[in-house]
Amino acid sequence: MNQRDVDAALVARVQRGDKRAFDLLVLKYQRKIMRLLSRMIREPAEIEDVTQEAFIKAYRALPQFRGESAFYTWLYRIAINTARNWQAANSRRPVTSSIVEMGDGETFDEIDNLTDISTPESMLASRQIADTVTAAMQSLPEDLRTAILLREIEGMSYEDIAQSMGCPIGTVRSRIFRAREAIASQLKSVLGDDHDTDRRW
Amino acid sequence: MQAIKEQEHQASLEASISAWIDAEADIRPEDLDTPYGRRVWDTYHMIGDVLRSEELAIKPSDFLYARISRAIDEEPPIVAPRPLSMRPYARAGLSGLAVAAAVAAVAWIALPYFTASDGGVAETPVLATAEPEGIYDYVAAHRDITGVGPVRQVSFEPGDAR
Amino acid sequence: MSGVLSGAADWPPARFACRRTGRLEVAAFLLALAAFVGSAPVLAAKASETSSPEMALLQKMQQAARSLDYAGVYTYQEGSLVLSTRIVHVVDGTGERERIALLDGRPREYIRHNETTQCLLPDHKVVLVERRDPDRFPAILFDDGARLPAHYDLQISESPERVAGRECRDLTLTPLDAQRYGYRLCADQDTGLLLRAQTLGPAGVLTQIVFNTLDVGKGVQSETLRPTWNTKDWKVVEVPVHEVDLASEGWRIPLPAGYQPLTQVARQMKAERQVKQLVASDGLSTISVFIEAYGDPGVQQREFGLVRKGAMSVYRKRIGDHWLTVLGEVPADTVRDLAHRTEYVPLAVP
Repeated sequence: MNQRDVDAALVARVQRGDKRAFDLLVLKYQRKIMRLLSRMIREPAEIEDVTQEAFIKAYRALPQFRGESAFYTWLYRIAINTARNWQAANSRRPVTSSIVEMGDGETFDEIDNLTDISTPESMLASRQIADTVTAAMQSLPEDLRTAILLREIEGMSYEDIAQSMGCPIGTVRSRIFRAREAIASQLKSVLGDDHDTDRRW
Repeated sequence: MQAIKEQEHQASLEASISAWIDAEADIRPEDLDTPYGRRVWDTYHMIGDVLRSEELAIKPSDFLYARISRAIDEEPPIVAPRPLSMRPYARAGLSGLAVAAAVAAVAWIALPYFTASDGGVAETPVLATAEPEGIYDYVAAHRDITGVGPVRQVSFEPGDAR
Repeated sequence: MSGVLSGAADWPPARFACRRTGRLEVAAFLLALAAFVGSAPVLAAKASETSSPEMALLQKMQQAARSLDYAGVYTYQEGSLVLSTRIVHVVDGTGERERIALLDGRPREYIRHNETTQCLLPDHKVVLVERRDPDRFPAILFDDGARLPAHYDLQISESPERVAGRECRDLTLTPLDAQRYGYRLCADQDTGLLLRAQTLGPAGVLTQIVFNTLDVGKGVQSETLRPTWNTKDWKVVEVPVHEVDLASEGWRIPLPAGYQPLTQVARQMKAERQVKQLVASDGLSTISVFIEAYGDPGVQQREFGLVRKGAMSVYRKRIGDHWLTVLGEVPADTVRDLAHRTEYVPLAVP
């Protein structure tokens, strides 16, 4: 099992009619897609609109997704296309755009990396989140910190982490979980209320 | 007693989600099908994202996820894809350009060529063409030496490993 | 003038010889300095000669890629194809260490130490060992780049760009003839590291490699160089490669203006398929010429004609008893013309 299998399992569920499984994919990738789109769309207010549209397009296109590529690669392409169409429909030309019409009918969009334009509020929230995670990491016991780094940065499997740290796999699982819990509890105050009535934190 | 039991159940829920995110366990889907379960899923993924890049420390507005979720609810149900073997093959002919482009990310195109040098005539693409057999062996051997990062390939088959 | 590969050419060219001894020069350089500065001393020596700001920026990019610690994820884009790769590059007392992990498609990693690269193929449980000059991005030049101003117009952009959250500046290389493509390279203001590289055709961008996330300097941990898999029981394979001299065999391969041979080798492509390969470069773009004998086992007996995909053009034809396959990240006419002008004149045995 690896990351692609997790996505593939969720996609399979969606393709069988489980819409809530798609929600999980949205939660997983919304930040990455927003960051990608922030490079093509100048207005911060529009980024979320286009993000929403990209996910809906992906949902509609899911019957054609057969897993030849990773789900995120496929989603990424859809997001780029959505942004491009949005720009065209709203006559918003990015500063240095060139839509290339190739002889074989393919179009290739020059991926512009515009200045990241964020509102002061969202920049502050981002800063707080980043600082909180950093501070929480620093105050973690070393074995928890190492475990979560090997998992999240290195993408190592529990088995490889266990070998690397010289402990049983169950310990790895527990350390990673406890690291996440410790950081998550620090993030509680920063993330604030998000209308979940079942909030347990 | 009840409170403690509930706490234990909570802890095991978060622990299960943690393991499933890492593809190290199976999970019952109903465990994640609650607002709380989704909150945990979201937070744990955010932690991983932020560890990898501070740029991903994005807090979408509270309504974004809810809006998307509602919009999906209003979509017609998904029909599962047909198995690959049943997919109709690309139609031949000039109209096949669009279909061929859909099949491959970027298609090979065949160009006209002449025996005499014609000094600077602009390329006139003719047709998307089927991938010439064996062409990737050469491309791979070229990129072996010149390297283009992720596209660098190794032409390798199990038979090569003597 | 074009470098015609014939018996009379100066071979091996001086630059090529320097590259092969790069590792010895690293050691000498380190000994000469109290503090460790970086590798790629050949470039450091050349850069001290008078050079334009554009050439200085190119040298800086090359130097940064070889001598800095950095880690990040970059994507390669060609049409709608998007492939992601994670890279970690660390320089220590022994030189350069690097790990490159493909994030899409079948898993694969490259673990490099200076000129030795191990390609880990978990699907086959094989480690393929290669001893070559390393991967290009974000190192971009194939030699010291001295011939580039003769064949490209170099311009540094006035306004800064922003890539992977960092400020950078574009250096655009516009070809002065139709035999090569153009490039736009965006270098980090701070460190000079190449953050984005685009190949430009007549109608726009053909391919792009760009860092999505990047950390430079502090925070790059050496444990991130370790491979994902335990390769203890894997089979280690080294593909045999040895140098050849095509000119002495009678091959006259007229390279386009500015291109010089980088290497010529006899090697294997697939099981039992031997091929001779010449790689030539003008400093930025590369062309490979493959030569196979008609009777070689497993050789492909079909002409491709002239085909192109993205930035890659390929042309294959028969010359007498040989198959000639020319390809490169160059316009189609370039590979076609090269193939048509190639001659095979085996020297008579006395």
